[in-house]
Formats: sequence, C-alpha cells, structure tokens
Amino acid sequence: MILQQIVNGLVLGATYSLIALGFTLIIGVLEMLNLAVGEILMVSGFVGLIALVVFGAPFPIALVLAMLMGAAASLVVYFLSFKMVDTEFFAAPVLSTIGIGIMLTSGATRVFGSENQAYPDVVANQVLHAGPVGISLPQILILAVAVTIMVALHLLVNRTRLGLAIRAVSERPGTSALLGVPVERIVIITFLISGAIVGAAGVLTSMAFHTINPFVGFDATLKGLAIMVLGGLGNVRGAMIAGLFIGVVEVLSVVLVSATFRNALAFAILIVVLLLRPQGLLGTRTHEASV
Amino acid sequence: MSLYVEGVVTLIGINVILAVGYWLTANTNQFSLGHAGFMAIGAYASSVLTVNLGWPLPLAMLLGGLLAGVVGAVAALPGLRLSLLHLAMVTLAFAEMVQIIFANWDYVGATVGFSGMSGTSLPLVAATLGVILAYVWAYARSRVGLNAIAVREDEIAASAAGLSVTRVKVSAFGQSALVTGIGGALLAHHLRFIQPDAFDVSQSVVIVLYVVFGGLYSLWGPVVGATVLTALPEVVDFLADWYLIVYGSLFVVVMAVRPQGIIRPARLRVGRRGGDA
Repeated sequence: MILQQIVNGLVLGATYSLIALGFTLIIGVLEMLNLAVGEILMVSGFVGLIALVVFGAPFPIALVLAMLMGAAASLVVYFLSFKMVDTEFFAAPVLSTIGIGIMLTSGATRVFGSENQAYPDVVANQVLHAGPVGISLPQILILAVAVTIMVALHLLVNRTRLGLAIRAVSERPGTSALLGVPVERIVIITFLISGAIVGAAGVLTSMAFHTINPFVGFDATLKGLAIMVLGGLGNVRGAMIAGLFIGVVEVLSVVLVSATFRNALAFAILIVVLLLRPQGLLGTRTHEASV
Repeated sequence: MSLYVEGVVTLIGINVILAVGYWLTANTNQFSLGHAGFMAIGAYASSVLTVNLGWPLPLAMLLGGLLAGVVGAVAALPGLRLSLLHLAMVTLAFAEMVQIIFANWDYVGATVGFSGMSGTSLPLVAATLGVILAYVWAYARSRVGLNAIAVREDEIAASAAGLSVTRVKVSAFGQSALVTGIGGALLAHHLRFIQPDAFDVSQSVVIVLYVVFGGLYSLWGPVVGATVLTALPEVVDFLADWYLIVYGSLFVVVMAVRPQGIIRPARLRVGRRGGDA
C-alpha cells in the first residue's frame, strides 16, 4: 500500500520536477523570478489537449507542439518582461510576468471556460503488476517522458559547450561576457529551454490529473517555487530530486492524513526550509537575487 | 448622491486604504504577493466579531486589523530576512494557505462563505481612510519613515549607519498588513458576504497594481492608482468584462514604460541624478 503510493508519488513528482526546472533555469541565468511559468504550463497543456482531441494527433506530436508553445510563450515573456523592462528597477520584471500570467489565465478562461476539461488517456489505461506494486501504462509514459527530459537537460547542462555557457552565465554574467560568452543569446536559449520543459510538464501534469482548467497555472507555480526552494535556488539537480520528494510527500499526506491540506503543504515546506536552511537541502550557496 | 455612486465611492475608499496599506511595505522595497491573505484575516475576524459576537464594526475592524498585522509580521519574517525573491514566494504561499484554511473551516462557512455583515457606510470608510492617511503621512515624515526610506534606497548603507534593517522591514510589513486587514474588514461589511475565493492571488495582485500604477515613491501614488483603477471599469462599461486582461496588460505596459508609476517623485529625487534607485 505505502509502496504503491510511493510509486504514484514518484510519477507525480517527476512532473513537478519539470515545473521547478522551469523556474530554476531562469533564476540561474537572471536571478529573477518568472512568475508566468505556471500559466505557460497551462497554455501548453491546452495546446496539447487541442492537438490530441481536436486534431487527433498522436501523443509525440502533441507533446512536441506543447513544448513549442511553451518555448514560444517563454520567449514572449523574456522580451516583454525582462528585455523591455529596466531590470535595475527591483520588482518590475516580476510584476510584469505576473501581468502576463493574468492575461494568459483570463484569456484561456474566455476561450475554454473555467470548468475542468477531461484530458484523454493517450495509451490504454492498463495496470502492470510487479509484486505488490501496480503501475499503469499512462504513468509509465509520464515517468519515461519526464525522466528523458531530465536526463537530456542534465547532459546538456553538464556535458556540452552550451551547458557550460549557461552555467558560466549563472555563476558570473559579467565575467562570462568579458570572456566572450554571448550572454544575451544564452539567456534567450535558457528561456526557450525553460519554456519547452514547462510545456512538456503542462501535458504530463494534465495527464496525471486527467483534467486541465485555466487555473492550474497558479497551483503549478506554488509547487514549483516550493520545490525550487527545497532543492536550492538555481540548483538544477536539487530541483529534480526535490520534485520527486515533494511528489511522494504529497501523495502520502493525502493517503495518510487528508486531501484537505494538500496545497498548504507547499507553504509549510517553504517556510520550514527558509527558516532552517535557506540555501535549500542540496544547495551550496544562496543566490542573493535582486528579486 | 445616488446609491450606485455612493457604492462606487465607498469601494474607491476601501481600495485606497488597501493601496496605502501596501505602500507601507513597498516603501521599504519589500514586495508582497499575498496581501489578499491579510485582507482575508481582517475580513473574517471582523465578520465573526460583528455577526456572531455582536461587536460594533469599528472595534471589530481594529481587532481584525491587529490580528492581520501580527500574523503578517510573523509570516513574512523568514522572507524579510532573506531576499525579495524569498519574500515573494513566502507571501504568495502564505495567502494560498490562508485561503485553504478558511475554505475548510466550517465555523466561518468553509467554501460556501460567510454572510450577515452590514454597517460599512461612506462616512465610516471616509473617516477610516482619513485617519490612516493622516497616520501614514505623519509616518512618512517621521524618523521611522526616514529609516524606511534609508532601507529602501540602500540596505547596506542603512545597516552601516546602525539601523536594524530587518526590524525596519518587519515593522513596516506588520503595519502594512494591519492597514490591509482593516481594508478587508471594511470590504467584508460593504459586500455583506465573503468567501475564500474572493481573496485569491488576483486580489493580491490587483493591490500591487494600484501601487505600482500610481507610483511607489510618493504616498499619493497609491491613492491615485487605486482611485483611477477602481473608477475606470465603472466609467468604461466594456472594461467590466475584460478587466483582468486589461489589468494584466497594464502591468506589462506600466513596467516597461514607466516602472516608477504615473506619479513622479518630487521630494526624494532632489539632489540625485541617475537611475540607481
């Protein structure tokens, strides 16, 4: 029973990790919050839904379309909220991203209505048993896609020249620029990667919950932030591990305690971590971000 | 004055209270994304006091505000001690938790909401606003107010000059939450019905918009911002349907074009050049 819930939690947590990565990458290169991440997820989830239901596209196509949507939305956020805004002006970019989030949510509400839309199963909802533990085919698919993305990101960040540049910009943007790293191009690429990952998360979380509505963005934001803080701000590996952890804790808390305070858990974890270990469980240094 | 106009003016007064309350913390360069949570605390606490315990509204409103102030100072402490980024996250999550708690608390009607309040009148709102404005005006000119500005302009220099930066921030944040709680209490007794959904993140964000739209560097910025943004949907009919999209785009446009808001700082910019604020 507990083992089964841990498996369910890991599947959910893998999708949460992706959300947190969307935040973490941006914090890494800009030390700023992109609070439209949740809404990018929501919009991408709807794009996936349209592709699957209206156009009957196969799952991989829908996933790619959602990722493209996420990347495009993320790029728009970069230009509107970061490029065009005086970043010296403390909270301005963050507030601007909130504005974009509001527009996306109310826009989606106008188009799709505020009710839950059913998200189709893209593979037969058949359960495979391994001893006491069962895992359904959709769960396997979610896990496989999420893990593939995380492994790909890990390799990209740690094994390629692009990843080196991203890490350099995260560490010291000024010095990187002096050493010839095209900082702005790296920041734009990071926004695209962040958006694509969040776009995939939009499809995967919707599959995990079997529904989507225009307001899922905010929940995703809260969870993403809590996970990011737990893993350490700007820490890519930390975000991955903390996401899995929160997924398991959330599922276990629903089973063992009650579903009522499911979302309050994110706040509790945020507060406790910030009080006891502000650099995050796996963090080595805190990003003294301007906002 | 027709009943409709009186309603709109009352609402403007309440929103100005909320905006001025928010300005108290924004003035120390600390931005909350969860002030709806303090509104909710003030609204629910005062409503229980007036409806279930029969307290007079002014007293209930004050107690609701005090409660919000204390909770605010404590809840925001971990964020205030760290960075703006942390404060944004803490307050965002805090407001969400307040909403969840009220939505599951049967004594205050859970998700159905709580009703039976009455008693907000234009004179009461005007008087409350007058007291708050007078207080904040005096505050901004006092030594404490100068401390707040010192922290806003340069934390390190303020700290080197012997100020306890965290204490200044926490005190400003607590007062901000207190005023916001009072605003929430007035709103609850004006609408006569509250439910947890009314205090969601978009409410928090609208308060921020009042302040940044009006301008951060002057007390009159939030007053103008709240007045204009509350009156606008009433005057321009089609805005009522589109107001969230319009508000969202206002954020984007204001931040890109004029992040200091529409009211220019007059006094503080004297003798300073350049954009190091």
